[in-house]
Amino acid sequence: MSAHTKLGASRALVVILVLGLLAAAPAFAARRAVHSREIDKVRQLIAEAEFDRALAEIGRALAQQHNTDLMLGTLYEQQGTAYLYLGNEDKARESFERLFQAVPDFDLAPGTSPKLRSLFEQVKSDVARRMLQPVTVAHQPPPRAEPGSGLDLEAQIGSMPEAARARLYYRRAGTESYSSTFFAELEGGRQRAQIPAFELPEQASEYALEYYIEVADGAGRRLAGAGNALEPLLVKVAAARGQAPDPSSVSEERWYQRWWVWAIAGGVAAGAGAAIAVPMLLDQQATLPVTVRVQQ
Amino acid sequence: MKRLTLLLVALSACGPELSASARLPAGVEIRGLLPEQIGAVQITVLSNANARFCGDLVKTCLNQKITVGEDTVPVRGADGKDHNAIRESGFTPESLTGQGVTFDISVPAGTNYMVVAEILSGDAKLLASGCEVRDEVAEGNGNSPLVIRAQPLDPVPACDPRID
Repeated sequence: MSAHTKLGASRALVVILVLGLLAAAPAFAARRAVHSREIDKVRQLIAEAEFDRALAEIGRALAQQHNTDLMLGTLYEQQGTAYLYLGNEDKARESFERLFQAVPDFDLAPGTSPKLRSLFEQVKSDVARRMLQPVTVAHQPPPRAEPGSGLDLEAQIGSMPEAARARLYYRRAGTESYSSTFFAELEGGRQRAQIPAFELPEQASEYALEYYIEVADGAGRRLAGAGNALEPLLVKVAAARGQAPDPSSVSEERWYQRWWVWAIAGGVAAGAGAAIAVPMLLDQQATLPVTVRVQQ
Repeated sequence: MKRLTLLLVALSACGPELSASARLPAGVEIRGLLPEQIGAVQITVLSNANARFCGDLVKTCLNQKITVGEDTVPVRGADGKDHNAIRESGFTPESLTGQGVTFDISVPAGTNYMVVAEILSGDAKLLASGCEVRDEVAEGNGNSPLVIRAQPLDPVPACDPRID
């Protein structure tokens, strides 16, 4: 039997074993089902024992800017798994440390191999003992922005590693891609970035900007943030003063927020429509406790 | 071969834990909905509940069944602003599958409300949905709790459930 044939047979055996494991434990496979194209590809590569290719794919995925914390946690878990299977425990440990940096309360799925779980728990314990403080981002979105001038956004960033940088991603609501700018350090951990004035043009109608803040390490990997690409924060940009409202702005402003609704409500309260609307307009707020359970 | 050996060692140690997982009480895995996938819980309050069918609304993303802004009752968020829906994240698996998670929803006092809870994955897919009707929500904090049992969806619908 040639060396090539032996290698092929070994790989086939590995694939059979991995597939057998996944088939026997659907929960094991499904628990990892945080989906993205890259994560699914890595999952497939690990299932095929293609650990080197999986690591290369993970490297590319980690460098992307739109990873959520959950995606990062999953990628670092996959990275640690691949390194461990390759016998590189030090690198696996490093991956798990990054995992906890991204998702401090991350846990493994039941059915994870004891070898993997053992290292995972060791790292978790070490991280807790060293009391590594996760990077934190505190940010209060501004209530509103004025058109025609740049919008300063501040964030309080705690435990920021030396090589890390904070970046602001922003876009006009309804558009697809984000622009970005770096935060500049002020004092006391405060940082400031500005959305340039040309992104806030004066318009007859109000419009919205979406943005998120991301702290990434030297390799561009997200450590912490406020909002993310999928769930950005929102700031409304006021309509230019003295301009008539644009009919196209109707959907951006709720009817009960308009001054003329209040005027009509005050003057025409006897109308049938107003009879329905008035209780809401009077803002008689109520608190309704809602308990949500996932049906078992 | 070293790689194969390592893998065999790792896999051979999986047996007992996998068996234990398989013996978990039915429902802990929640028929394909795996708790650590949960990204957020989204709650929407609808008006005119008696004109709606709960069973129809929870089969897919609510935003495909209603007109957001017209059918929705404004819910006041922690930011003090009114929203068409609120989304909360950061739940442990046990909290949602066990006792459940309770939200204090701030809405205008009114009648004939339907409350829809949607469980979203981290990548914004609809994993589970449930709804309940409340005939009257009185002003203040004296309203009795409303319990919503969200049913996992299988297959997961190909829609983005987020309501902004």
